[in-house]
Amino acid sequence: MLKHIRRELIFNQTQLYIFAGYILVFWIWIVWQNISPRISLVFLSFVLPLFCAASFQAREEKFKAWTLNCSLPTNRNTLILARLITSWSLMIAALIVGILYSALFQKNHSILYQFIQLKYFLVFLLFTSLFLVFLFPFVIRFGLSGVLIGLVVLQILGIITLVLTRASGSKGNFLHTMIDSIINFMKFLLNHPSTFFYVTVLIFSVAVLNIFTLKFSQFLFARRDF
Amino acid sequence: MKIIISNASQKPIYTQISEQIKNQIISGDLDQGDPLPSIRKLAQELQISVITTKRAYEELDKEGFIDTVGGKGCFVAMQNKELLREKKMKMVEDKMLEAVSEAKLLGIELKELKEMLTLLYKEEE
Amino acid sequence: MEHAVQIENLRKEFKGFTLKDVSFNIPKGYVMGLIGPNGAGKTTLIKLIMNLIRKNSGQIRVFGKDHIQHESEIKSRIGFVYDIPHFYEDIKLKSTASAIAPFYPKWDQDLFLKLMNEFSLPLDKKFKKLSHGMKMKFSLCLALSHDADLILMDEPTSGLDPVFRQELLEKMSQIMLDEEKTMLFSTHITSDLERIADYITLIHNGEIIFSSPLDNILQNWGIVKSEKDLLDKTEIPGLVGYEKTNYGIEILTSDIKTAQTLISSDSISEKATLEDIMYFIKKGETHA
Repeated sequence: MLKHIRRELIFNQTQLYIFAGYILVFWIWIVWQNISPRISLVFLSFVLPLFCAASFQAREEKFKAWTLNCSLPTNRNTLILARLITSWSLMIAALIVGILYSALFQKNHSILYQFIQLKYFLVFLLFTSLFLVFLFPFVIRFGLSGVLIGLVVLQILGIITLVLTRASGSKGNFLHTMIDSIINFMKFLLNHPSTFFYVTVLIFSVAVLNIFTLKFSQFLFARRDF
Repeated sequence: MKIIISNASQKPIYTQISEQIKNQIISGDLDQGDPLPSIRKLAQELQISVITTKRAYEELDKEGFIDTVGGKGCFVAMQNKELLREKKMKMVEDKMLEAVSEAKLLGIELKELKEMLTLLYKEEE
Repeated sequence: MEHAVQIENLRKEFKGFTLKDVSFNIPKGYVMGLIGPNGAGKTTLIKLIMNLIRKNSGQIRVFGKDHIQHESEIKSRIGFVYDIPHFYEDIKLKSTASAIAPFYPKWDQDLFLKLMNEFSLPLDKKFKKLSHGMKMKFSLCLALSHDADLILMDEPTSGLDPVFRQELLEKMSQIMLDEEKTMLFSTHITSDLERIADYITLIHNGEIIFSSPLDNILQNWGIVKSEKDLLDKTEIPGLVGYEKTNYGIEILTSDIKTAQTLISSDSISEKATLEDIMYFIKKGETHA
C-alpha cells in the first residue's frame, strides 16, 4: 500500500503544492478573521474531498493515466483503496496543519481546542464521509466532466424546484426547507453531548460510510473500460 | 561467414542460407569445428525471422553438415573426406541432370551437349 | 511448444464493432506481428490482454495463467508501450520512473539509467516537453527496465520518422536475442514486420483472418497478374481478393504454388508482401 500512496503523491505533486498553499492560506485567514471553528469544520468537510479526491481523479482523467495505473502490476480494487487512503491522509494532514497553526499562532487556540476534542473530530469525519459517499463514486464512474454535468443538473433541478413551488403557490420553499433541515441536522450533531454511546455511533457511522464508499467505488471502477 | 539473401529469388530464404553455408563448407571456406552464429544472432543480422534461420540450421544438421551442441551452439561438422567428395560430386551431378533434361526438352543431342561442356570447361580456364 | 499468450474464443462487443470469438496463440521466444487496417481490433486485443477493457466472453492466459485471476503477478512480467501517451504530463521523467519502479520486483535502476542515456532522454524534463518520438522512447525505456518476459506494443512506430523507426526495430531485434522474451507488436506499417516478426496474425473487422509463421505466408501467398478476363476462364485456388484495371487483373491468392501451375506463360506471378495482403483483403470484401 505504501508504494501506492507514494505513487499517488508523486504523480499529483503539482496538485499537492497548490493544495498545501491553499490550506496554509485558509488557516491563516480563519485565524485572522476569527472565524468560528465550527464553520471552518463544515467548510473543510466540503472542500477537502474536492481537493483530495476529485482533483486526483480529474488529473488521471485529463492525462488518460488510468491506462498507466491499470497496467501496473496491481488490481483495480487496490488502486481505489489507495486513492481513498491517500485522500484521507491528506485531509487529516490539512486538519493537523490547522491544529498546529492554532497552537503556535492563535491567541485563544480555539481551533486547537475544538478539533482536539474527539466529538468534533468525529463529526468532521462524519460530514466529510457523507460528502465523499456521493462525490467519490460519482467521480469514479463519471469522471470530472460528470461532476461538472452533475453540478449543472443540480442547478437546473434547483431552478425547477423553485419554479414548481412558486407555481404551486405553497408558502414554504422546498429547497429552503431542505437546506434548513440539513443545517439543523449539523447543529444537532455538533451540539449533542459527547456520550460514550454517541461517540460509538459516530465511529461506527464513519466506518460504515467509508466501507460503502470503498466497495461501491471499487464496483464502479471495475466496470469501466479504458 | 558470408551470407547474402535475395528477396526477389524464387528460392525460400532458408534454402538460400543453407545452400550458401553448405557451399562454404564444401569449398573449405568453413572448416570443421568452426562455430556458426546462433540462430538468433544470424536472424538479427540478416533482419529475418528466427524461424527461418532455425529451419536453415535444422536442414544443415539433418544433412550432416553441422552439429548442434546443446547450450553451446552450432559448429561445422567433421566432414568425412570421402563423404565430402561424394557430396561435391552429387552437387555437380544435380546440376548436370538439370542440363540434361533441359537439353532433351529442347532436342539437343548428346554429342552436341558434350561439345558444349568441353567448350565451357576450357573457357573457364 | 510453450505459449506466452493463449487467446481462446475471445469476444468483446462495442456499439459499432465486435471482436468475434477470436483465438490465437503467441509462442514464447518469438515476435508476433499483429496487423490489420485501422479499426480492425488490434488495440482492442492488446487492451483486453491487459484487462484495460473487460471481455464479454472467452479466455486469455498469459504465461499459462488466467489473465484476471493472476493479474498482478502477470503484469509484473509485462512491459507495455501504447500508441497514445498516458503519463502525467507535468511530472518529470525521473519522478514517473521512481513512482512505478517499486511495483516491479525485477526493476533495474542501472539499466533504466543506461537506456535513458542510450535514447538521449533527459531525466529532469517534464513529460509534456518531449517530442512524440521521445515520448515513445520513454515508454519503451520503462517497459524494458524490469526484465519483462512479454513486451506488448501497440503501434509503436506510427508517427515516427524513418531513422527512429530503424533504431527502434534494431533495439527490438537486440531484445529478442534472449529466447525467454516474447513480443507482440501491432502495426499497420507492415514493412517493419517483415524484418523482425516471426509470426503474423492478421485481424480484420474483429476477426482473425490468419495466424501463421511469416515465412509460410511469404512463401505461399502471391499475386497473379494477368489479362482481365482470367477469372472467367480459370478457377484460381485460395482466391482472397482481386483488382481489375483496363489493362489486366491482379489477384491475391493464398496458394501461389498451385495457381502458378494453372496460369498461362504470359501471366506473371509474384510474391505478395504483407502490405499487398492487407490491401487485397480489404478490397476482397467489396468483391465477395
